[in-house]
Amino acid sequence: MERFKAEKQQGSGELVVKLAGHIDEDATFNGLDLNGAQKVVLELEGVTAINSCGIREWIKWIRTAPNGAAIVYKKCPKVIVDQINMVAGFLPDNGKVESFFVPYYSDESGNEKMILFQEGKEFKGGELFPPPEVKDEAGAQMEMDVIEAKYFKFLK
Amino acid sequence: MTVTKKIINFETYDSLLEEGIDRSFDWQQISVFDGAEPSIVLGEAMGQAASHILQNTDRHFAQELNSSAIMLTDQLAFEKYPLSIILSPGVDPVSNEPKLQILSKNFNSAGQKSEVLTSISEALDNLAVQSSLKGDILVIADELITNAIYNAPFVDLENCLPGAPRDNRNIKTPEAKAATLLMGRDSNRIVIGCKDQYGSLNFQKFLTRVKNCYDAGVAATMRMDGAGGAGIGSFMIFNTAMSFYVDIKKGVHTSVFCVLPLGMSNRQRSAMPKNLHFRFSK
Repeated sequence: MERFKAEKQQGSGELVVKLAGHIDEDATFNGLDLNGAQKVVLELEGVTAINSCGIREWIKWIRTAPNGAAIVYKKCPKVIVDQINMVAGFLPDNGKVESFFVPYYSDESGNEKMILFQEGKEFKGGELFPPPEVKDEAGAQMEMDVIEAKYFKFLK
Repeated sequence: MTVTKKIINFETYDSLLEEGIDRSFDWQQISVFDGAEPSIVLGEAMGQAASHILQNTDRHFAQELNSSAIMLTDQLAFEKYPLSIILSPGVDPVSNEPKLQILSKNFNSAGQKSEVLTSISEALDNLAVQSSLKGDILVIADELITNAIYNAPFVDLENCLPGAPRDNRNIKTPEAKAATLLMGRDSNRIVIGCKDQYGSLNFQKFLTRVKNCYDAGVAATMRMDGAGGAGIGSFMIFNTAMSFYVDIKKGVHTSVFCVLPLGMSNRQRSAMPKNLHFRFSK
């Protein structure tokens, strides 16, 4: 299991926090002070898992962002999208998802693939514009492997 | 999901019981639904109308029914051979149990959690299960281990206390009271479970908490204060599993086993209705 890792980069008024690994009771958000940021960008591609303690710690931490700060979640893996849909406050009211991964699956080959959906391209204003065709490495047709009403709930 | 309907003509299912299965149980202990939502399944269990809540739309309905019959008639079989009773209830469990088992790990400290999860992850890689299924199994395993280390030894029987602080990395219970994580499979299903030696799970509270997550939402149910559990781990386990088995002997042991289907897309898996089996051993 990949351990939790966090990296913080301060730009002009923009704080970029890169999170990776398993977010659980051992994950510490203490060094990731969000005070003073006008915009917080979370890069989440490397997050592999999150447990119940991790969810609680995340919510406590994200609540420390200043009121009025824009919060942007980028490259959310499925584990993060699931929590956004399931746990109110996991994505705060002033937060938005700029991009996220959607699992695709081929019944024929059993292969899986994650496709990045980006705002303005694959989704816009609550509407979806999925790629017309997704194939695996062997050329087998792949289908979106989620229940759409559940997985894209957060876009509405 | 299909329309929920509780089936009351139990005799219809008698022919699905394997030869040699003891039929001297009370059929009222088995509720059969036609694709019921999780909240209805949990409500049925809370009312104690039945201890085995099954879905006849499940492709493994016959096995679920046979497992129920064994759990209702044999006090020891599930305790000794859980994998066999779950996956192939009609087969001799003594010889079958080792064939089904992939992994068995004892643990008694917080420091061992990562090592146990790594073993599970490696075992799943060897089986070449899909990555989304692997993720689901690890979610269940994480919560089961956390519960066995931080909750089972420390909560009272009413489960009023939230367990040991999660930031205490030195939590350790006596080796003789170690918990066991077990994983097994057949060609269609995979089972992951954990048995602790405390028997402190208050099942009515468990059901209430999980049902509340479905009815009122996860955030409304979550414990935000204190350093104990967040109170949603049980929901994460139940919500991820297709079938859920609990066996509690107060003060002696709690066994929780979850079943997930193999070779299915994430979408099909998420749409499957849930079965729930529980038993209080004497």
